[in-house]
Amino acid sequence: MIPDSVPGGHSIITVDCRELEPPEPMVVVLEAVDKLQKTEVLKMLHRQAPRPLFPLLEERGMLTHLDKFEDGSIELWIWQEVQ
Amino acid sequence: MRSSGLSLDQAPPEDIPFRFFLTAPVFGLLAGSLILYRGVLVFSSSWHFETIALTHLITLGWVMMIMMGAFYQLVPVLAGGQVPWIALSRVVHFFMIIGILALAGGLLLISPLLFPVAIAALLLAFTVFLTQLLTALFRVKANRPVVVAMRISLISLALAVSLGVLEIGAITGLWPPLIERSIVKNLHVTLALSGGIGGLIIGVGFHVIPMFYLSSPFPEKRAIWILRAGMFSLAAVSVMLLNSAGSVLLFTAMLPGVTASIIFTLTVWQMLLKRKRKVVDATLRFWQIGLLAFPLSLLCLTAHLFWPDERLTFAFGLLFLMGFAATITNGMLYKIVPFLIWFHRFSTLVGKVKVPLLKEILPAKRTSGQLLQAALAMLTLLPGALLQIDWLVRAGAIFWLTSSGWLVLNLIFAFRQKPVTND
Repeated sequence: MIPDSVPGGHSIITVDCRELEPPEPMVVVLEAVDKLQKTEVLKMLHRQAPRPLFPLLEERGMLTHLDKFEDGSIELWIWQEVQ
Repeated sequence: MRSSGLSLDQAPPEDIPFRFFLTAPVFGLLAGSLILYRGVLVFSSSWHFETIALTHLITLGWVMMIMMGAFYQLVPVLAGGQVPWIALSRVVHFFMIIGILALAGGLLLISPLLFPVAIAALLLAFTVFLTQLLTALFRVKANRPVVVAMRISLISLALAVSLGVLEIGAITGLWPPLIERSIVKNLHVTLALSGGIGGLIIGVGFHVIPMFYLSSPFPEKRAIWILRAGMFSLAAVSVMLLNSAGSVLLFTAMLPGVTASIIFTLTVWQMLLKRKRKVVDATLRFWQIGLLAFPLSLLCLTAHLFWPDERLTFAFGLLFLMGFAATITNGMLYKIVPFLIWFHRFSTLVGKVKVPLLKEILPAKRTSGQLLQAALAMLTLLPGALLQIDWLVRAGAIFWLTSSGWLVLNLIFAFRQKPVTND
């Protein structure tokens, strides 16, 4: 389910990083972010909150929403700030 | 469940953890040189000044240096805490070096002039470090096991350092002894090793094993139980030591903590065996050696309660400090350093240029060679100290020196990796 704060009407690109070793999740997500269109939102699945990724996303002007689950896994939603 | 207000760029500048990490194997070289120079004599009595100097070159010089660098780096990443006055960490590093050199020098040269320098420098370094980290960790609202373990570790270190300073002052006549020396020594060792070093390694293990080895998460309820049992034993053993309790009472007090340590070891071992990526690298082997040495060291410690043979003290010291603490911290350096280099120097270039993989920042052939030397050092020092064989101890010292020197070179190799510019 798409969280309320994530813009609606966007197409969702899912990146599953749950079986990737650091820093591959960051590489995969940042490469996907660089190709992300304004009409798209990226959904990252990971084993835990990727703290080091946040400053890099902020530097690229991205907006994020993080959902954490009981087992520690997360869903991180990433989209472009619309000026 | 939603989470907001995430920490952004809280990681310290790269030079802060790196200066601590690089200093550790340099103290390893000093420790190895001392063993090589004095041979089996350093394993003759745990009260011997040379043995105390050697112990502190390893505990403060190697293990504590890596722990401090790791605390500065991991508290923002694992606990989400902001370490205040981060620039002061460079002052902590400087005074740690002065303090350790003055302490070891004072003990080796029996120089009364060096002890006040050691006390002042170490007190300053630890006061700043503990204030920074305790402030950061008590500001964090989360009570996750890793945060609790880090708090236990820091509080134990604060008490251990206070007792250590009391002891040096009493030995050198700066002030009269407040408590009997053997009680201070046993309390100091218990708090520093079980609470300080054990607490941090166990707490970080909860988190980094799943992260770096793609294993299942450490079961949270088990982690909480392990920490509670460890805290109970730490407090109970301290009270027993203060009251000069006998072996049976001490053993009873230790039992929950020893059981918790064994459960931690078995759980991590199982997690490593069932990891999703079946890659075998030096860091995995460092963890496995450490996990074998840890219960063996506890066995020696427990046996020493009922069979007070000094050789068991040395077996415990070697297995716990070199086999467990120095080995696991060594292995973690090989995971943390390449990641930090990648993060600080290459992460902003993703999508712009081809960025290196971690195994290119620090190739496996470099780390596996050092692993072999570290393992050989343990395999020779342990029987050498137990059977009091001088040439075996000196051979162990050579392996340990090679291992430490190799680690220095590997870290320098990694630190030299920088993005290639086209101008």
